[in-house]
Amino acid sequence: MPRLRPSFIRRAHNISSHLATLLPACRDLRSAQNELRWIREHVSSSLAPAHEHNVTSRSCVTKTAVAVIKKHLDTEVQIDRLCRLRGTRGVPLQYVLGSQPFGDLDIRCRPGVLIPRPETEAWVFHLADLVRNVIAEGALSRPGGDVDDRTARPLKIVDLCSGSGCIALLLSSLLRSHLRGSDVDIRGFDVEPRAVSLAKENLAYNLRRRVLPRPRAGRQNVVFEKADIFSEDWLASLHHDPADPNAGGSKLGAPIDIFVSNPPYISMRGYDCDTGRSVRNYEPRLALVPHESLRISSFADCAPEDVFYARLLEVAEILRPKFVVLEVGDLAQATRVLEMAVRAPRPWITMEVWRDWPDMAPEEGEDQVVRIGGLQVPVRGSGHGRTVFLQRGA
Amino acid sequence: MTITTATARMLRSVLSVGRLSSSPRKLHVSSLQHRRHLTGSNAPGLLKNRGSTMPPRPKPPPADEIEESFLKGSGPGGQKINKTNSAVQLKHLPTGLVIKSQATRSRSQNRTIARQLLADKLDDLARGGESRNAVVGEFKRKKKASSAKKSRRKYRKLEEEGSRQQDDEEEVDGIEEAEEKQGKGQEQDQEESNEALAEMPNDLDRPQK
Ligand SMILES: C[S@@+](CC[C@H](N)C(=O)[O-])C[C@H]1O[C@@H](n2cnc3c(N)ncnc32)[C@H](O)[C@@H]1O
Repeated sequence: MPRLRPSFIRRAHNISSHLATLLPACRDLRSAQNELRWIREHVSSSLAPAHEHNVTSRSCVTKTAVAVIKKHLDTEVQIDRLCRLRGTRGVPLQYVLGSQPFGDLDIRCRPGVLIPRPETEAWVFHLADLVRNVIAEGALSRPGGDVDDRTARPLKIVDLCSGSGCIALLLSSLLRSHLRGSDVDIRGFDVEPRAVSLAKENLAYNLRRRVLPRPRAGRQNVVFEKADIFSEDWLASLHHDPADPNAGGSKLGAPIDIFVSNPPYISMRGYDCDTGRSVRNYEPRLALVPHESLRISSFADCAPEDVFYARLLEVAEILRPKFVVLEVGDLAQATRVLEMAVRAPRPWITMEVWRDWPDMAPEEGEDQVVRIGGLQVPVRGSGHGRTVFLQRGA
Repeated sequence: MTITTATARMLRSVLSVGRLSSSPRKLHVSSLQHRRHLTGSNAPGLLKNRGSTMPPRPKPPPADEIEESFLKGSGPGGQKINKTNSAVQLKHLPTGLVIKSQATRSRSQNRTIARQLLADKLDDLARGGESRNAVVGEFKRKKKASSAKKSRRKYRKLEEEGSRQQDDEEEVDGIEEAEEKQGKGQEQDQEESNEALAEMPNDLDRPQK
């Protein structure tokens, strides 16, 4: 990485020493100023309550003044510590602050679990819009209305490689107002125990913040579980009859409505060459790069970075979802995934690629179609090829 | 509130600020039509009216009058990068007014905030002293004036009650942090980031080779 000019650092330092500390990670003044503001906000909101307590106990001006000064010092020490973590050590801001906003949700972030990305947020919004339109047309899950509420069945969503739980939780938040009588059943699976417990925490936390639909009495409708999606036991468990009491309370009966996944999709070379430094140094490799052993064992004929898609499409055959959205690394990977999808035993009636910002107009030079065999598949939006969207008839 | 084309033309003649200016910005900000509108359940709850004494919040202009852009990294994006830039910039096409928000770490929230700021600005321009902003501003000035008096009483009060009074006068409607760049301020801003980019000729997030 090119070195920052000393004069540039000095200029930042003249504004605030914190800014100069942040500069190596942020690279430009604007971002450093933004990050400093967010760090300050975080510190002042997390320090405030404890000190209020001390102050109210005695009635004395000196004591109040001391407390105010002490709080100020504590705040500065905290801010300095966080700026160093971020700027000097290069820790992602989301781990430093412990969170990332994702739509209306606030997603807790901790090492061991991938930080939610804005591109993911963008396609979840786009998918929610699409599903809302379909619900409005009455083609999906009856959302109450003049129909007896008890007849409305819940919308079933499955999220594989769920990580922090951000995708499943945001979908449920965005769809809640459109699911009056019924509600959602969400199942998320991840192989990493830290991800599973963080996703559960994110569910509880955002329920408290009232941005998620409340579960109906006595019924837990969002469940995150630990599972290796390549394991045969797990695959077999998907066949269970949801009415079967031995199925462990599973509500996962096919057909489901929405199947989403943002699996690890980076090649080993891509990991070494074009990942950000703070990604490589602090985010889990397990979340980013498919393990080489997976290909050798089960999917020898596809590129190592594509193995998850081969498996996800197998799972889709069992769950028979109406909508599938799979996040990918770029247009080339999207094309390879589509080539797998056209070989599916039962055809998809709609296939699309969504770019990073699916509802922006394409820029000059951005293709609006890819050819898969004899088929022309539409490519929507602007940016890198980001998701493969598949739909089946009702 | 809807701005008719006639009003818009009038506004434009009054306005000399907030035009997208030189072309260098095109290098890193891509200006694109963007038609989706964050409303209803998608809109973050940041901008709700708190006091009932205030005039109602003006509504953002229709989506087809807005050109939205945000910094698109030149890198691969997705899982490979974890950047924090979430700035959103709106241009109101009929008036040329430009609004930017980088208040929050969420792009979707910044989109909503920028739209609300734009609505406030247009309301200001259309209704002058009657606009919500003007009324809110007047309210704050009065509060400030009385808070000077209050602070004189403060120490006595502290001794009596032993509690510190929370100074929350500044926060009236929760968007105080939202940024709004116009005219000169914006040019300067742009220069600054140009310089930052000159520091980093390659991709901002590319790791060391
Ligand atoms: C790119 S992250 C996505 C996390 C989250 N869905 C998001 O979008 O932010 C991929 C996730 O896949 C999980 N994972 C990796 N191998 C897995 C496997 N064999 N079975 C299930 N999950 C796996 C990782 O633990 C990681 O949480």
